[in-house]
Amino acid sequence: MLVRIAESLYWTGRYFRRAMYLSKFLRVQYFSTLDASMAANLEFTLRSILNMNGVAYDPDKPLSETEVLMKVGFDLDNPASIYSTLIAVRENTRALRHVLSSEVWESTNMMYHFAKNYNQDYYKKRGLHEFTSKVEEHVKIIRSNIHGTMLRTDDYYFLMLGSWLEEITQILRILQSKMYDMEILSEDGEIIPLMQYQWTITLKSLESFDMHNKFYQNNTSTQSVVEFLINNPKFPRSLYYNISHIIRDVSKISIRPEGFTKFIFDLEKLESDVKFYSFEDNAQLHDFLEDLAKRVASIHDICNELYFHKR
Amino acid sequence: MESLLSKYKLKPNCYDEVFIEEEQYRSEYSMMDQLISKMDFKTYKSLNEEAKLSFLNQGITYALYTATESTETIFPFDLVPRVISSSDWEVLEKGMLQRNKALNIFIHDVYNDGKILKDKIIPVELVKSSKHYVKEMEGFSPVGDIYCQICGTDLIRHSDGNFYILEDNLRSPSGVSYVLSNRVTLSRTLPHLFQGKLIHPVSQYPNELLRTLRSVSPQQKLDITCVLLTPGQYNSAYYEHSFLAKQMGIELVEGGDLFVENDFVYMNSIGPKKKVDVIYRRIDDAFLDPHVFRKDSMLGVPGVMKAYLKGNVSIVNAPGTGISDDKAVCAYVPDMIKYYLGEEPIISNVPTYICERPQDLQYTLDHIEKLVVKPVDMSGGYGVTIMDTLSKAEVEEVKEKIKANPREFIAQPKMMLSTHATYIEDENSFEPRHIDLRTFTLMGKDFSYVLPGGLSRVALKKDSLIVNSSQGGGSKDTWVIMDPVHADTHSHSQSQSQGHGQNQSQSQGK
Repeated sequence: MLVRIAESLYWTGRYFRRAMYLSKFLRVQYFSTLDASMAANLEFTLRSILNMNGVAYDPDKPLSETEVLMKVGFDLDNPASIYSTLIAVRENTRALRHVLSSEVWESTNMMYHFAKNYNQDYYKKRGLHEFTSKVEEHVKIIRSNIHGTMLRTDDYYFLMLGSWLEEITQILRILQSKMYDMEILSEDGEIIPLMQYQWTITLKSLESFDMHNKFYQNNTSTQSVVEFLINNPKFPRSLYYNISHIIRDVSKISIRPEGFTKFIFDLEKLESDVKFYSFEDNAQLHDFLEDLAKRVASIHDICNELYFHKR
Repeated sequence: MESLLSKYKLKPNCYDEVFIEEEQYRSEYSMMDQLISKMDFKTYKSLNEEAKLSFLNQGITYALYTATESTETIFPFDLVPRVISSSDWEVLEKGMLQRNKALNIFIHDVYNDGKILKDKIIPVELVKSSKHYVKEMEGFSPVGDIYCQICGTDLIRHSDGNFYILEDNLRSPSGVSYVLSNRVTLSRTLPHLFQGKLIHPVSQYPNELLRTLRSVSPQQKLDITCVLLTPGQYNSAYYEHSFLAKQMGIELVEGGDLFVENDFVYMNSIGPKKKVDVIYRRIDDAFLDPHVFRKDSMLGVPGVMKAYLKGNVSIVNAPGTGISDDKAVCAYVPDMIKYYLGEEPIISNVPTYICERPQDLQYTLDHIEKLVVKPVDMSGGYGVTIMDTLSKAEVEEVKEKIKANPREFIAQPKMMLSTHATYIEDENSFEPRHIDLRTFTLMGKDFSYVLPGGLSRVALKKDSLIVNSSQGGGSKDTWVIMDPVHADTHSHSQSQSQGHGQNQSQSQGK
């Protein structure tokens, strides 16, 4: 397989998953402000949205709601906006048209045209829910097409490598950003129910709310949320689940350059640390997530070194 | 119900492909009755929209470049197919093969013995002054002496009802992917049109192309690695590059994906490097190898020409084929056919005045208002000037340009391209629009193939004679009707395979 193709497959996997999480987080966060307990906290939520998106802002100036929504939704100068991410998916799949099944290509192409032709004025006024839900729907169709129509060869495994890694990265980002939000709320002396509500938002952003409640029979606590999202082996949005799957799929890549064995060893170490994590207090969780984030970021560098450099 | 074509008005002094006279179809267009009797404008419009969406979602688009930006556009597609009778096609097919044979011998001759130049059939300066002449090719013979494995020839049907050759494209002719996707889209949108018709299939083109590429590999072996070299996804024909690579099951590479080691070409792969035998390149000579051609080229492969000239890799089409792409040289193809093959050309050229020849220059300047002036080395319809559309001052300007640099221009009489009923969205009606035909001919070692039909391009602007997509043209599915002999064998094999399918399903049921 061409180095360029392997790299494009990997990035396709990353970007299309990213598009899903960006849309979900934006929608869940934004609509939480319509709920009574967060109504007074619009500014706080807008900042949380920008933090998650990695957009810098001036903390001394009030934020404009429309500007934030556009910045995260459609701003082409923001490489992490939803539209920029969809363009990145499309650019990568365009280079892969001859590699991907036509179903995968056509569904990514349709998603791009959907966003490109979306009325941005409507989005600003009333379309946020529709736009973000549709993007998620498109992503799910793509995902289903990848699973249903791609040959299980290296092409598929590079795509999945990117996809699992992005999933892990996004789950971590959401957890970290919510930790940060809660630190601010507790400094401000906010009441416990509001902080609890933040966990609800976190679960909803990760499409985990009802499954969590079912699993813990509605006994929600920081411990239940954190353990559900970190080391539940049966839940597809847990870090543990995703790390196990990245190992499963990377092991199937047929080309194994020098350094491959160590790569798998490091991943297994990560898997074991996540599997046996047990919540003690917020400070311990904070440090654990920070260490994890660094190790996850290094997975990308290792892939780069192993596979994506040219002669 | 108002018939779709009841208001269709024939254009005077033009050959109309569909109608002999108003409301009387040519026999090969009998299916139009079905189309018309069963449909109203509303239905037709919605089918038209459906077809457009299908193209957009499949990403069958091309990039259009203007001075400031590039946009991705659907190549406009007209649902009414263009039909070529089996007797017309028989002549066209023979004509294309004859022409390509002569062109390949000509290119070999020019780069080797130069007989045709020594015999003064074609002026030596005309060939050697061509921008596309590649000195490095002198004395070199590619596999099978084939230079132009893929040739796109543009034809028109004049008001006399005969086909004429407008020009040959011997560098990297494009458009074949539209032929294949037009057929797929039309059969999905209007399946009933195809019922009871025996039309030559076009879907085997990618297989024939792969066969062509493999036949010119430097070594004949089981495992021949062919690649398609594209300038990348921002090229206007990128869709076609990826389409063909996928259909043939070969790697689509960019310059950076290939490298040369000890005069062999390899792919930059993860894992062990892979040797390349045949490069089907869709980039111009100028960008092919910065060691030999343009030094600033980022699209090519440094050292690939040396590997080629050592016989370690084949480049398709060969570098330097552009000499016969030159519109002034094209005018000599009938002479080449007579000189090399001792035959009369089966299809005539559009009469061409080569401004470099003093008497032709004089004729061109004297009769310029009636002519079409073209630069010799531009494609895509760029630079084509239809003189009777210009003001006096503009005509004088063109005359001065020609006088200053006669080698750069040719002139042709204004040919009346045939017209074809075409749906015009803005008018919501069918109107006659001018069309041409681009045929695709493949020449491999010891075999050749002409794609039945080709790409019918249609000038969507009223009265426009320029059909190129970059100038607002669209396209049509092009049918070649099978002759009765062909049709018999076809239906026979079809019924056999159907029988086989039944057996299979029966055994599954047990």
